[in-house]
Amino acid sequence: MKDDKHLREEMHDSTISDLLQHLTQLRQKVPVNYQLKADLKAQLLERMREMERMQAGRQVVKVVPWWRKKRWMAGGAILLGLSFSLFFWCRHFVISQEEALNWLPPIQAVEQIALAPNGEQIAYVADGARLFLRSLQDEKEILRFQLPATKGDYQAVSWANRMDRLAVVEESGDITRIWLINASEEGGHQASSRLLIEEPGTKFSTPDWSPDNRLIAYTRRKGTHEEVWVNSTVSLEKRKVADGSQPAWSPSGAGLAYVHDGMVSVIDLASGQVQEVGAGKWPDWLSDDRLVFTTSNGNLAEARLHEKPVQIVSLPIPSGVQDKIVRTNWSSNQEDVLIAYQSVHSLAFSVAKRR
Amino acid sequence: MGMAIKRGMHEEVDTLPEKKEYYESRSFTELYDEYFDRVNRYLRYRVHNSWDADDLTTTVFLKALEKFDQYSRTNPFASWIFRIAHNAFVDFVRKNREIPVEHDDYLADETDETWQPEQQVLTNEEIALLRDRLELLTQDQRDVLTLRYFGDLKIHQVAEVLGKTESSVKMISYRALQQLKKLYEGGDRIERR
Repeated sequence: MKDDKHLREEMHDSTISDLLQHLTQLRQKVPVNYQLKADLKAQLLERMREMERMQAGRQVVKVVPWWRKKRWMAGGAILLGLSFSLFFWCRHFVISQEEALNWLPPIQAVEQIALAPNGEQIAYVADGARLFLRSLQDEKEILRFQLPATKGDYQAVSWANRMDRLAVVEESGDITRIWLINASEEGGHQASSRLLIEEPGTKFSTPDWSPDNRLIAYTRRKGTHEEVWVNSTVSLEKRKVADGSQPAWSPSGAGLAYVHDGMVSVIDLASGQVQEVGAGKWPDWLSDDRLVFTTSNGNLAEARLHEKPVQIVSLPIPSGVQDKIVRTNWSSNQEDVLIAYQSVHSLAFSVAKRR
Repeated sequence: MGMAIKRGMHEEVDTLPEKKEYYESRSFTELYDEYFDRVNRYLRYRVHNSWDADDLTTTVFLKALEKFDQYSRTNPFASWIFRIAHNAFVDFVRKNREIPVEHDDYLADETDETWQPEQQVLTNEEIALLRDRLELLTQDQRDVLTLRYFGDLKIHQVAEVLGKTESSVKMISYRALQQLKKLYEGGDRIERR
């Protein structure tokens, strides 16, 4: 009764009634992020489909009567033996401890996210002009940077090997720029940055730092023609390396893998000699003589460059994965990998360990 | 409960059904569509920094989806989702207590798409003043007022979210409004135009 009395007082007190109106106005002045609403809904729908698939997988498990278990056990022993052989045969490629990055905001392109060289962080660009550096051990450890205040959208990100800088690509109408961002700061503010290159009438994409951080390779597209270029990060020097796209530096820095006409190729930068590897895209290196790339049907392949002719072997895809792999992005020691999957409506990402 | 006077947002809330059957028939995505705005707005008001608020909103709905099978549906969805949102906010504040908050100046720069200019009775300065005064209230009072007026929750839903009794929430709400009234009357009163 006393409470109702208070409420009646609220209603009839003109100051309180004004206050309630002002609170309503204050509420209305807080904007809702409708872009996030749409993006997050797509992410939730994708997660729901994933959960349904996992649920369906669990339902397949049946209870086996004890008298049938013996037969299964014999078969199991044989399979175990075989799997051990398989494990040792392809021990370099077994991917384990895969963990989906469900907490990521919607990422529109595989270039917008990159695994740190030490495999402990990821960087991604979101909402057009924000750069996030997030720990994989503790997802609450996150640094945010406002990217240079321009009118463009940020499309691609790449870590320097010392992890002190990142390269980001900005598209603004007809102009594309590559910025170098200082990643050694605390975040929460405008990132300190330096413009590496700006060019009207072209599109830059897929930046990749050389192992010594002195060069950045990138795709330069004019119309439908794509070229791989290399820019110095310490001088104004730049040069075209090959026709193609998606460059990736070899661990020694002596070669660049890239894609041209649907074929993964490797160029020796000293001699200019080109070695064609196989059909695929998004090459990355496991060592100076071993390349990983994605095949057109969404599988992973490894090319052993030291063998003549080049040997291509298919890599096992992590269990339970039905979506096509778009790209893998490996840490410097090749023990951690960021995997991008294309599902029906959106991209999904996970990190895994190589055993 | 008769609290809809001069409060458009509560008229809207009061029309929402509370019956168990209503929530049983709704899918997660339907509930998401309906509640996103309220949760996002609540967190954006409380966290001030819209980046953090949007991250928290994402966390809240991802967590809600993971735990949706635990939602009993005997209670309104609003209480359940706002309990997750409020706990996420409390965790955020605890974790960021030592870190200076970077405040967004959203009141000046951004406008709600649903906002009608002719309804803009208060200036941005006056609204900022009101926001400052809300910050002078106790934690409990801020929790109750923001859940009521920014989360659009009813008294009994606020009570469920905060784990308090309804009468306690009513009392806190009453005292908070009285406190605000004193601040208005004692300080540079916000004039109506």
